[in-house]
Amino acid sequence: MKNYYSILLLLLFVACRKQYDVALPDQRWDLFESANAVALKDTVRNKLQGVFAIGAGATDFGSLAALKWSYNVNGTDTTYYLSVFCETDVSYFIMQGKRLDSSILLNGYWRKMTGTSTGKARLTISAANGGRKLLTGAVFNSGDIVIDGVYGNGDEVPTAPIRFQYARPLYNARPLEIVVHRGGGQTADLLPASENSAQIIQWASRFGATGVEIDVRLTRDGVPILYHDDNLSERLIVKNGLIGPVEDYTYDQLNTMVRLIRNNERIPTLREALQTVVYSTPLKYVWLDTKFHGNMQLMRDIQQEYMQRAAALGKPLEITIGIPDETVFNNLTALPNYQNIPSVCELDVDFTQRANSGIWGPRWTLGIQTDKINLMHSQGRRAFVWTLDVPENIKQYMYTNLYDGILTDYPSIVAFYHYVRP
Amino acid sequence: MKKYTLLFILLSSLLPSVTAQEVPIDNLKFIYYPHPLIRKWTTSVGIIATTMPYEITEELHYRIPAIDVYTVHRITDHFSIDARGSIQGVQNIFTIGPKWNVKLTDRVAGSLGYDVGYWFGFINAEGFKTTGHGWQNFPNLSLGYRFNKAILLTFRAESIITLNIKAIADQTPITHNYSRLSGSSYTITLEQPFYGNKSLTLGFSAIYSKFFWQTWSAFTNFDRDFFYPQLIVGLIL
Repeated sequence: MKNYYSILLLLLFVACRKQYDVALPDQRWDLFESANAVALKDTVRNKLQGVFAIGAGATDFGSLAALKWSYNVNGTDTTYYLSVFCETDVSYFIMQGKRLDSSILLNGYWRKMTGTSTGKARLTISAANGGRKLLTGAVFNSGDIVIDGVYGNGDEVPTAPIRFQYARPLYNARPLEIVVHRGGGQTADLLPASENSAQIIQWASRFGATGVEIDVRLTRDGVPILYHDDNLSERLIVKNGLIGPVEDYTYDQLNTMVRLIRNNERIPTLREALQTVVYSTPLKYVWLDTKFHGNMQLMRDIQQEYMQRAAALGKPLEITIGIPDETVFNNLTALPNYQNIPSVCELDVDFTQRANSGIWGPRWTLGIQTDKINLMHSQGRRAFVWTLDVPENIKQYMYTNLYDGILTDYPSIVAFYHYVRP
Repeated sequence: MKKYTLLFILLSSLLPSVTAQEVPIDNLKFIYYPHPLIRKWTTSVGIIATTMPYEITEELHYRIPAIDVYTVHRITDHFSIDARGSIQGVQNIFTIGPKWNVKLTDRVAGSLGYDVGYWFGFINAEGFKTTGHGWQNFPNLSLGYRFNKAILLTFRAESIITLNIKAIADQTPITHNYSRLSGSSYTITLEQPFYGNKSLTLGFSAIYSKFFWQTWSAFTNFDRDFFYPQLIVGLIL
């Protein structure tokens, strides 16, 4: 009889799940790397933003795209990225730009976030199609700038044609904080870096975010670090035999023995994460999701220090401490001058008022709470909804004009719906 | 997965030994084996434990097993109605459908069926004020083999067709983008006499699907198949 049960046992072991991954396509393009291709000036980049109509390629990416620049600073080097936010399948392009004679070259890749498809993209704005106007600073109108190019799958040589034609400027009538979950997105979405890593924070603005949410825990020796789950798990870290809560380990132990799953990154300290935000990105908002129950003075001190550092650079940056439950509420309100601590309260409006939180953060699965949001607005507070990932519902919540921020795993689709608003 | 393996070994050790003597099919109770039914009604009660993919549930990898009640009703020699409910409280599914059973040889039987399923769930806690329901259909095919001992081995393959998903957060409708052909599942079960006149079913199911009803409240955007292994334990009354 054991033979029969062996069949079942065998099935348990042979049944397996497909392992998905998304690798960044090789983005080398000889023309783009040629000696004659030079960096774009700020004035050109500033003009090359807006809402564009998609001609060829609309089947894959939708009929409109929002083009917006971001940057990363590494030491004395600044790298600029042109993100193209599209609607279909939560897709986007991330490109770099150069000038070649009177043309502009854009080189990068595209990705669809609902699945795993990705590939190269090579675009050109010829002199006649608006390149000269952009480079000389001439006035242009709708239809004057045409970006032509090709895209392909994976590392294949791109051959599918795509065209973007300038339609109008990006919407900016009503500000919206686009806050990306876990520093830049969840590991399950197979991003170029692990969630809650210093590396993914560098990607956040390229994905469309204006702010990041990061998860803060304390190590056994009291170092604030970024980590989401209650336990070390194969979901987030490379298997190493360590188990249990990160709070059971010292920072040195975690730093030595634990690597995050996407790129073997180290678990960053809160200081390292904020250092990245302040000195390497254009991000202007940070939501510290408090995942520990304990004294919050150190977290408060770090929050204050990095807001001061940003201010010293002349950079607008708001860092708020998250209040996800009543224990954290009690711990935060036990701090001196707690009413002056910038915070975001996920509890009901009553707690938000008692903590004097500047932001109320209701979960989206509670529905659109018009009356409470209006109450918060009447008190000079803002409302950020979390964690809203369903595209149609993102659009629906955004277009109520009630919310001041949306926390999401998919900032590119939030950015798309926001910037293409008429 | 290791937990399942240990459970199988434990349950296997509890099973009474069966003699090599041939047992007529008329004397066997079965619910998965696709032989034409002999009894008017056959009912099984048990549990189905599903392991969720980390991508969907993150930290919560295992969920409370669903109580599984499975009834088949003989209509004619070859035709039966299958009805089944998996109940967890906050999320549940009920299926019903016809099945055509045929004895192919003395030891081999097969069936074709089509189950219509309705799932529903509600969560009103921890920042959720959501309800959801939807229809899924499961056309299926089974092939069974009767060993000369009283062991019935059945392989069942079914397609998972999602007809609709409706969910609401308070008063706000939640949009689900789903694939109609969501995936498929493959189940193997062993049925054999247990104690008294009861029979025991042990089974393993491998579900590969873009949408699994127990994950309705995750509201994810993933457009890729996930693997949901299931352990099935049932007592045929």
